[in-house]
Amino acid sequence: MNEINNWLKTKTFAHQQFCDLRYLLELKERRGVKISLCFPTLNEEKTIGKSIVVMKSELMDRVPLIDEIAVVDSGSTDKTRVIAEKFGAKTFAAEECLPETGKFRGKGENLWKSLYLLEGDIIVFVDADISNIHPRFAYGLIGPLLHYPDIKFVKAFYNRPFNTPSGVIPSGGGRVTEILIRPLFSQFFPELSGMVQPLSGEYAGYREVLEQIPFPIGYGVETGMLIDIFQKWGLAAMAQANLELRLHRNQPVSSLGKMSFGILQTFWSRLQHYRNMDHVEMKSFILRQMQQQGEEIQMTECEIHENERPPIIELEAYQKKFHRSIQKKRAEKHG
Amino acid sequence: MDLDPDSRGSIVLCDELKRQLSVIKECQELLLGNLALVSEIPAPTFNERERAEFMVERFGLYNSVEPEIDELNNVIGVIRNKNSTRNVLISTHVDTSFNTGSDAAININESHVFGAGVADDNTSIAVMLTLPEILDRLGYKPDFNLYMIAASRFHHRGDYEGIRKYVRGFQGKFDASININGLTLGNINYLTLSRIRCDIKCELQDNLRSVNVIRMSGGSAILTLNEVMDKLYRIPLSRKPRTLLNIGILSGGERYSTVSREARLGLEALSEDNEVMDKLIEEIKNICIDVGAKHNTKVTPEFFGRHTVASLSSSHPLVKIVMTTLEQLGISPKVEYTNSQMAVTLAEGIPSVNIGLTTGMGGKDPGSYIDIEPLSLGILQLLMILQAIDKNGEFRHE
Repeated sequence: MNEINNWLKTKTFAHQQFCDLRYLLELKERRGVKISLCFPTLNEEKTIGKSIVVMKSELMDRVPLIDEIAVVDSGSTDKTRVIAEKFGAKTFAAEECLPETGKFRGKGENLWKSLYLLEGDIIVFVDADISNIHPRFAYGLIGPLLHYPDIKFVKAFYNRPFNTPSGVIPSGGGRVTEILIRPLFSQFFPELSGMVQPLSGEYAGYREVLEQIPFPIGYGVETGMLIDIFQKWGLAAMAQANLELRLHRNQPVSSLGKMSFGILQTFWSRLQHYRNMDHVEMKSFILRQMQQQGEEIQMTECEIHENERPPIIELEAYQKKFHRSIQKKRAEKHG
Repeated sequence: MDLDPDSRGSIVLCDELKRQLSVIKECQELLLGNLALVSEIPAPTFNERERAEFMVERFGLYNSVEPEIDELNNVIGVIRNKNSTRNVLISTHVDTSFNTGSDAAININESHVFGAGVADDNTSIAVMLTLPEILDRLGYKPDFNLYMIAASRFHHRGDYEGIRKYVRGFQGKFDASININGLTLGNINYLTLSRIRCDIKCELQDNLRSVNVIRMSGGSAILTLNEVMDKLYRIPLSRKPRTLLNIGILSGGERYSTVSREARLGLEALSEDNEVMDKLIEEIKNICIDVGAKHNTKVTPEFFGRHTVASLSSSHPLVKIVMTTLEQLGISPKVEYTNSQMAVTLAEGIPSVNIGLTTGMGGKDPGSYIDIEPLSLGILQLLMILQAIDKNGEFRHE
């Protein structure tokens, strides 16, 4: 309990602490790091234009804190990629990247491939469906990484009112967090229970950390990432930042059920790996949900496999692209 | 509407104007970023502080601009030229006509920006905030003191109080004023009409407030107001000078099952003649007295927002400058009356014009939009006007 309280006190930040962008730029230059911002997308034409315009104008054009902005897309059928390109983002189709490794579809897949596609030493991930996008969603996460050398990964949290057809509802986000994740963390990884929003879609970390962890391709990517980073680098390397208000689409309960099903698979695999709980075995990958159709209750079935990508550092193509040049850079630095 | 001379190739811009257009286009993302951020900050009339603070912070990013918020939440950015006594004003308004609770989020696609208030007039605010960057990049410092004001209290009962108070309290005189609107590029306004706004409230008298008595008598504030409306629309309005009356707001009643005790309407009347307007105001007052007496109902008109007729002549140098600018850009000027903030500056004796910056559709619903492409031309228009004022010397007000 003391460790969590201490962590909460020392590793919980607010975006306002880092709003001096000129100073952040100075820190970045002092550290000699590059920063990449990645939007994983699937049919986000309504929000991607504004997301890129706001981030590029404020954090690249006005103050060059970010070196590249990219969209890694899961195969949008709308104008997401056209709009992203129009406003100067690099755009990539996830399935065209590293084709020799096979194809999966999901946010985690896009994030994993972004490590190969992007150049930054720090990578910031921001969901593309935020309707009140603001530069704080990036600099609030970059700030702790640049200010405190011991911090390697920063997770966002915020107030989460959500948009519904009848308007903005003041609160109610984070249902899967409160009902599933928090009880599970409290039981099995209590050190992580200080995370206010473990499932938030915005986080940033150093490449040297992200390249060494596996990436669940779907719903479990955030949960897996937190547990893996905690297990390898400890709580001291992690921080969280309050980004205030985040407006996003509300999801129906049936979608939250699917999300929970995927997350549980990721969670069980971590229990097996880190807690030697080999007796936990999934009997089925089919989620059954009940739906009321008129007077009848119908059962729907949905197969969800939360596949995982290995740490990308294990890929030869990745080693070729980065580690030779990183070693060279280090050698240059040392003499 | 394709207004881009580069893409059409039908208008030949000189090299200098091409350079300026290119710099403006380089600043497009900064401008859209400003538009996105400013649109997210609610600024209903009388509650503009948060947005005003954002604007001041933005102006403060430039060494060339002196930023200020006054006690009414007017935001002023001054690009000063110490060697000049000439002053030119660019104005827009900082407030929105909708409340804080409205969803002000905007969407940007490859050719449009959608969202409540984008066209009227958040785009003008974004242009104002980006103008110092454009001027810096162009290396252009006007040979006059340039005052940029996003005035508060424009909408509703604000009745242009922000701009009025600022202009009246200004130490010195403005040589020219350009009011910028999001819509519509090509419009030029230098004529304002006589205007009045009026809220009419019908209230049942206390002795009729028992529902049963009202039902027996057939009385109702809504019915009374309906008769007021009938009579208002029967007022013979002069066709020359042109005079118009519009009832734009109507509300009343409480429940389906209850006789209405109170009802209201809001109207605006416009005329090309101040005396005609004076007579119209008297007629409205008389209708309220007559209908109120007939139904034993209190009918109260409350007048506000009076503007008087003011204009420049079409031969005024400022009008000529705008006309010539639009022609140079291959845009046919469209002259219309307007009752923008220009009404205030004109009434204060300042040579004033109102221009639009792009094309699109106004309104406060999320479907309203601006076109991105013509915006660069709209800003070039503004720059050309400033540069022409620079060369022109002092204006004489008529």
